[in-house]
Amino acid sequence: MHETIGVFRTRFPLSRTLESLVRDRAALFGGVMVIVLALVALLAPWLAPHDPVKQDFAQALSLPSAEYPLGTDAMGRCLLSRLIYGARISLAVGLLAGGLAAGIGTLIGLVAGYYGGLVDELLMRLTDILMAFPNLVFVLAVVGTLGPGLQNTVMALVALGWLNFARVVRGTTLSLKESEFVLSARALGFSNARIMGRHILPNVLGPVIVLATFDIPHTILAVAGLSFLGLGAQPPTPEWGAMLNAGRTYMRTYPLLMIAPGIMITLTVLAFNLLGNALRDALDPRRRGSAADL
Amino acid sequence: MLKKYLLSCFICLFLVSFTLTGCGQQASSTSEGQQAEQVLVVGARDFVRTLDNGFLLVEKTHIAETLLTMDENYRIQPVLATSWKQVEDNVWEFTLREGVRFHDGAPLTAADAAYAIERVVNANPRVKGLTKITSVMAAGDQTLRITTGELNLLLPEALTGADLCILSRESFNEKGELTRPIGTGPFKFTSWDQATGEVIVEKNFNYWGAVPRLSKMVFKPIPDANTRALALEKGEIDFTFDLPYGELDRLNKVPGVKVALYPEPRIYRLELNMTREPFNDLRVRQALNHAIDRTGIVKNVLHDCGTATIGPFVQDAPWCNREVEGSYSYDPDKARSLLTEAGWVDKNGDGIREKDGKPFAITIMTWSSRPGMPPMAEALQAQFREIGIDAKVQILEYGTIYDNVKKGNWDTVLASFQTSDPHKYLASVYGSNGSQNVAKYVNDEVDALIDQAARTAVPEKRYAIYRQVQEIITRDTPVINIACYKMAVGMRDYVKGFKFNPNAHDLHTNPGMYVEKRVER
Repeated sequence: MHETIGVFRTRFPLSRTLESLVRDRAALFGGVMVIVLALVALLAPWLAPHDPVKQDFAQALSLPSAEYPLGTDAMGRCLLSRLIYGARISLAVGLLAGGLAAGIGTLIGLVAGYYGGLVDELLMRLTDILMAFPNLVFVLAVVGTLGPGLQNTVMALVALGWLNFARVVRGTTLSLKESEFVLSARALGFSNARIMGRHILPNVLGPVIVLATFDIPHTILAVAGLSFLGLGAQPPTPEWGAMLNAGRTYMRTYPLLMIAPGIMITLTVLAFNLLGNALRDALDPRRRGSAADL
Repeated sequence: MLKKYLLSCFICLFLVSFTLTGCGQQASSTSEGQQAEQVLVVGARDFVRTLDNGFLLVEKTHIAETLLTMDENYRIQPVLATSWKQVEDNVWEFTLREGVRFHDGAPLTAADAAYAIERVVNANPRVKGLTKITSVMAAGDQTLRITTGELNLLLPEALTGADLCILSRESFNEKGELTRPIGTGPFKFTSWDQATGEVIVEKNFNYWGAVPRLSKMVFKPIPDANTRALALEKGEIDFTFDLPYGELDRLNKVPGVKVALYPEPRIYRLELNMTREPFNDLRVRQALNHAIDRTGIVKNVLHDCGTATIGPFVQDAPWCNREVEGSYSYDPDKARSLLTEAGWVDKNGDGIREKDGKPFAITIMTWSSRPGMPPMAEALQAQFREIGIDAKVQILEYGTIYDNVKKGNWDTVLASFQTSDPHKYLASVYGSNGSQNVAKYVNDEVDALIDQAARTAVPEKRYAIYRQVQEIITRDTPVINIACYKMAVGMRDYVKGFKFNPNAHDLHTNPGMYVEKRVER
């Protein structure tokens, strides 16, 4: 599974990865969508025509117009502006929770795999125990005790999110530990930290990135779901899941209030998943070059 | 590969959808069969967690009855007691109706009534406080003697409360837990499914009054308002209430569905923690009052399922003081100047006022089973922001909210409570020992007036006292009233005989309701 190219060379040449990504049309779509969403999130204050939390009862539930391109919600807030700012929240939450989980998981996996023995045993049994918790039940319990809110939701998701990363990284580290370039680095007398950081870490990043691209949409969906239930983002935060829930009251009369955030959630999750699929194929040495025939 | 996979997916989907539609048709044909034997399926808003609930037993399922009841003109009417008199200052005698039998066939005696009332009074301090009952005993077969600890001229009013329904002692196990409600009402208990919360009652052929036309009522808990609306449209339920406010116009146009609005004596109110800054300052409370656009909230949040109000009572109640309505106009500028006067000024220019370096940041807690409350909290949040207050909305469970309130760990709660009994409402919310006085409001004048009302038998004179109380509490505003409730009742057009009773907790079903369905063949 892991070809040993050399001590200091990264094993995933960027150009080739990009090339296979571009050749795969689904991946291209996913990648472009993610970039567009990221731009929308970054440029929200300039793109949004209105303040997303500013209420104006005089404009409540108005249909799409030049002033309000997608109309307004029951509080007279611009739907388009809320969707745009919602991208900020969803991406920020996804990246933050995904990034934290990946960081913690990688660190734990590296340490466990590299040192082995008792350290490995302890960390992996902890992972096993936490793995036994049903994900959603755990998050609900945390939010139930600490109170609803985005911060607590993200904390709860990270608390279980790192497990997969730790397992994957540990496995890869175990096999890399015995590889020639690590053995030679050790023979040269490099410190453990340096071997882990400079020699093993770059080689486990591939699977970590792939896992993270799957973890981000999972997190976005989880947060949207919890916000829909009223446990995640609290009003008036323009979070897509919360907007979907608020729009539910007008499901039959002003369906756009529900459909629009729904589409945004679907598109975002789809984009990340497509990108993740393609990344997985592009970074998998066995399938290199065949990603386009997925 | 992928194509094959997709194809099999589609086939599966088609198969599933065919099976599902098949099921749906089957279900509707059985429900039509049930209609023939006069079944009313009610979409209930609240999940039934326990049967030991007077509102459920008296007003919804009609299993049990109270001694007295209040009619829609707020006059006391006899039910199980036919007459009553005050024999001494603190002693009352109630004559029970002859020939009434419990559902198990046993006759209703004064001893049974004494047992039932004593159980509730001992278990429920709120009822004890309102009735002031110290002892209940049978003074003969059909005469019930009630002694109060102090003079309480409003005992008959208090006895109309659904909590004080008369259940046979056979309803309880040795531990005193309700196992099977046996009452005297027009319907008798059939079943309660603890998993789904569904309650079924059937006609009581031996009822002392008019025997109902319905043979069965089914109470199906559907906590979500949108789901209730869909179920009503589909004909899965025949009768329901608290429909989603934004959907009423559309629902009314659905063939076979009728929606009607009834003003209910129930208030949306913002409770304030007056024991702490900033709500201990009258100017702040007045500022909040002026900051709220009540008309806007009623129009856009409640979609006119309500009435903007400053006082706590429905406008047509005979004790309502309509003059207080002019007290707090929607005037953000006035609100701002009141806050400035109280020392809350935005010094750092972030749009939020501060005092002694502390920002004006508050939390509005509310719960979601009443569809109007979460969006109303959001509207309040924005309106408070306009005058420089940073409000955070928290949607929690009812129980969690009042646990926090009990611990003193709160700022404000957006709540909704029934106001049909003026004495009960004023005493419990504004009386210094009131069970709902979460603000910890203490005003000796209010206490004295409430006491005086309890000693005033003539309704008109008593109502005048209530009007005086309303004036004081509007000025002091320990609780900010926002709007009166309107109950949106929806039913299929073949449901007849529904009459709204404003005294019920949200609403009564009527035992006289029936189903008149044209057979379409």
